Amino acid sequence: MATREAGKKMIMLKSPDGMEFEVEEAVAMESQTIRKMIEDDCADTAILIPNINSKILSRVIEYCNKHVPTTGATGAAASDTVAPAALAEDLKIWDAEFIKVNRATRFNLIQAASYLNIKGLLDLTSQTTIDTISDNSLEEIRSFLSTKNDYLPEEEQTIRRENQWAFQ
Amino acid sequence: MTSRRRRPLLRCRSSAAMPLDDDDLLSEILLRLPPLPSSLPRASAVCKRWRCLASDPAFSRRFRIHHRRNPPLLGCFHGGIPELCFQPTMAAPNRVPSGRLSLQFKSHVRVLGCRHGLVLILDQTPQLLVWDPVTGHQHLLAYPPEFDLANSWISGAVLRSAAGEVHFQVVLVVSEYEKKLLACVYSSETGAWGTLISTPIPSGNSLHTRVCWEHAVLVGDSLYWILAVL
Repeated sequence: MATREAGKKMIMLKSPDGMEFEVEEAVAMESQTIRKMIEDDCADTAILIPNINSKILSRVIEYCNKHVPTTGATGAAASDTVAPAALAEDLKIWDAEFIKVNRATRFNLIQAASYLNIKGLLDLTSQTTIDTISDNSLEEIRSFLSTKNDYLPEEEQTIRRENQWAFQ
Repeated sequence: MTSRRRRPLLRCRSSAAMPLDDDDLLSEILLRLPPLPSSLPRASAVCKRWRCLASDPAFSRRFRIHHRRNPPLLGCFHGGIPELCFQPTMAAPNRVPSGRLSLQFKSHVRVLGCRHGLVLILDQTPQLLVWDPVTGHQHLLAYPPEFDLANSWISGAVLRSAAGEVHFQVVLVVSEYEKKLLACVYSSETGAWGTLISTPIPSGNSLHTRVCWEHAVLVGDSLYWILAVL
């Protein structure tokens, strides 16, 4: 496995479209899927991340870089000077900017977060999707999420009648 | 560059709907709907697949666990003679109609406590009823045989050990005339009452000290009742 300055272990992630990303092991281990591979000693060489193109993988790495816990000498210095609440607030603002992407990119990020098992990113992407649709009408939700209404009109009426109060 | 431009466009178009085609990812997304009464009924009306997912008991359990730190207060129960009435407190479209969560009885009942989505009711049979107002499920249980109901003041509580847990426990406490407090814990998992716990009434005028009817308070892993001298 590659190593770089300050004894930080580096790891190579490869996207299926041939791009390679050298990242710190700690950053890569924000993904529970990669963490397990490293812990099981299955990650001696570059890890191929299937189904996640380079554009999305680079965004995922950007997210992990920002969210990796600051540990070690540099990290300790950082947490000495910045209060945890301020760090959390900073992350929240950063997340809000990070997720300002189009719908297709967000869906790709959801898939990547799920495959790589990165809880924070899955929370962020899924919650943003829900927040976008939760105040919309059923028709708008179907249209936004490209979901087809496969109910017969009378079936939909029955469902609405069952919980009429929820549609007021 | 030409090929790189073309490729992401193709990928985006083909994969845009994919998370929603995958049941696991769709449930991850729906899990984050606000924990409001109207959320899942509305999601169920989007299409058959959404209805199938939203009405799956395993999904309901995950939904409860996901929102365990911020459950909404839907309303409160009052009455008990002969109907336990639900009084909604939320505004439309989350105002669950009173009739939806009310329960009829043949005789007077007393609510001993509400917690973790369950209501513990004492009727005059005498029996205890654990009721899940959302699913409508009712679980009747007899008193522990050691309890002398004719000569005691009774209180109780129902609780679940963790969010999303199917099983529950019922804790019954009584103050007897003979200077002691008795408690017993029922587990729905074993379907049996545990060993009777007995303790002397701590101090003062123990002959007239009673466990109050006010509902118990759960703090950490402990339930607290108020004792009063009558």
